[in-house]
Amino acid sequence: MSQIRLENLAKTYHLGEVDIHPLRGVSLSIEAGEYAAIKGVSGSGKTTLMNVIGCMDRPTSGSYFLEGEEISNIPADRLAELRNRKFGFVFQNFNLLNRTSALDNVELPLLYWNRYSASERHERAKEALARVGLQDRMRHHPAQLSGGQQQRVAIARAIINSPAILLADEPTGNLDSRSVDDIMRIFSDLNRQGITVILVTHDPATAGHARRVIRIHDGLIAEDAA
Amino acid sequence: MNPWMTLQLSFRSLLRNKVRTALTMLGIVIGIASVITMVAIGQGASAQIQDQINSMGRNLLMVRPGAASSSGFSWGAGTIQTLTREDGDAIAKEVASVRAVAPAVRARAQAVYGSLNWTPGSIQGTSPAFMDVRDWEVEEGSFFTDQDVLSVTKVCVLGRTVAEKLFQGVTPIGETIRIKNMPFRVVGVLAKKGTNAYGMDQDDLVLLPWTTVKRVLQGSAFNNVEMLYVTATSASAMTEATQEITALLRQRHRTPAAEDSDFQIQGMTEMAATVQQTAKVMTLLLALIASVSLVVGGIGIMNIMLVSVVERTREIGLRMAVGARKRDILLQFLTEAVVLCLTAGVLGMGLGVALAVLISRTLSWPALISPASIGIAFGFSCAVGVFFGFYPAFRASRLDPIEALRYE
Repeated sequence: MSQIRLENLAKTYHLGEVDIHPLRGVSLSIEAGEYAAIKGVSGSGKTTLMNVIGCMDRPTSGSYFLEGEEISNIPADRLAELRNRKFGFVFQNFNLLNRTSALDNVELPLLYWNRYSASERHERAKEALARVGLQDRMRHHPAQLSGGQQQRVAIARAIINSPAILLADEPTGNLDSRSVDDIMRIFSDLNRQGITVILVTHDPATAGHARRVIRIHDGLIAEDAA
Repeated sequence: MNPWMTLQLSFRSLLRNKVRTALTMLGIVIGIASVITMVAIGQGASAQIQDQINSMGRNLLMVRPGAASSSGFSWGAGTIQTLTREDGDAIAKEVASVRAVAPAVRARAQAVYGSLNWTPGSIQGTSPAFMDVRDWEVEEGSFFTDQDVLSVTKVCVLGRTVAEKLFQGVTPIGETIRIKNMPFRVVGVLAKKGTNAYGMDQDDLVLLPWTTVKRVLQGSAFNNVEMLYVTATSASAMTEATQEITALLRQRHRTPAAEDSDFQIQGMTEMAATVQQTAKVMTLLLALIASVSLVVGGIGIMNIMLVSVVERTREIGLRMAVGARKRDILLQFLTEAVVLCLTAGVLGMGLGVALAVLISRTLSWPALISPASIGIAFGFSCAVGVFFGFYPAFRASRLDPIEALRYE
């Protein structure tokens, strides 16, 4: 059983009188523990694909099986729960909360998972920050951190819930080359530890770190190479 | 997210914008404070009026002889002399809803002590039950006794005003004053009572045993009285007491069923009810005017919450992306609005109470701060928070996470 299986997935937006089709029928399987990059020019549909995979958006037609369960039509609250338990998100612009410490930023996903007490949340957030090498920056606010450090805080936030799948949308787009190397090394490490990593990028160098590259063009898979 | 965490979260985000939070709260603070102050002043005034009415005697009924009429011409109340002391005794003994009865007969004369003279507003003959009935106390000396009434003793009890006019600081107890050239020994002085609801000085009074007034001052051998003061056992028993007294006196006076009674019973309740009604309307009016500012404050809260939702669009998107449900976002913003309003409500209560005390001190206006008005203010600020916080919170919860994350 594939971890992620998409069958003939399509997405249509109605923008006034015009219909936009960012996805026109994508079929794709990703196994647990894979390291894949979704590549494509802007407007190719790669971000929409990632949003659907990450349960942020529902497909207009087609099926999405997550660990064997068809989830293309489940209620919004169930989708929120899947995002909370199964996925970690890393964004191009980090999306950290200002005036909030790194530790509190990292804890955020666990606030929506009632299983953890305050002290457990704290412990896990510290561990997650240590995994990205920021154990000595826990009390810093985002404004006091460099871009690379901010993205590492964001990665710590993405892994605090021990996700099965880590989704990253242009994670290196706003970083200098040294930070890019740091971030890509962290992704590789995490993948080695068993997390499925899916990168979305238009940058061939970034995509080169992945073991599988899926190229999207005009809402369809144009190339899928391991 | 559990409620305790939601609460912590809203405190944190309110503290992040201290000046804005304080200014937003100000509207509610002023609203709640003015509601509390206005209600306190209204209720204070109403309590003062009630006190004045009660100073006539609590649960007081006045039974007077009826009007005599001859060939269609009425002579007015008290012109027939059918009401007797025995009627009073019967009422005290037979009507269960009556606590005490005191007769009253009046005289008008000058009182003289040494070289000073004074004409008291009223010279009344009564019995020791008078003190209970009129809710009055003796400050110096003592009241005359039932024995004094029986033996027609020439003793008197002075009201505060009369004591001051005649004795000017000397203690009157044991002294003798002259009324109609007859000597009366002063046995007591009543406590000061002030003006009644009609504005008359209640302390301008001399009390004598009713028999003394009747036999000595009026030279009458009869037992008829001008009035019976009757106290009902409670305010709610007054109607019942009125009915029972009516039935009893009609029977005693052998009044045929078809005829009108030869007496009338007047209670303080009707007057008290009218005055209370007026005071209530005034309080309500004041509270209404004050709550306008509360509504304005609430709109201010809604405005700021809407701004805050727009400002924090990305935060909302992020929270949704990491697993917040619509409900979590709705509760977060709603809790913020309610916390804002409740904090403002508590501050407003403090300010309102302080203002009410200040006003009552400086303007010597009575102000009554009731727990009810504080409870209502608390509930009201909560309601304002929920009412004006709901729409912004609802808007926040309806955001699409993808759009919200992309918001610049």
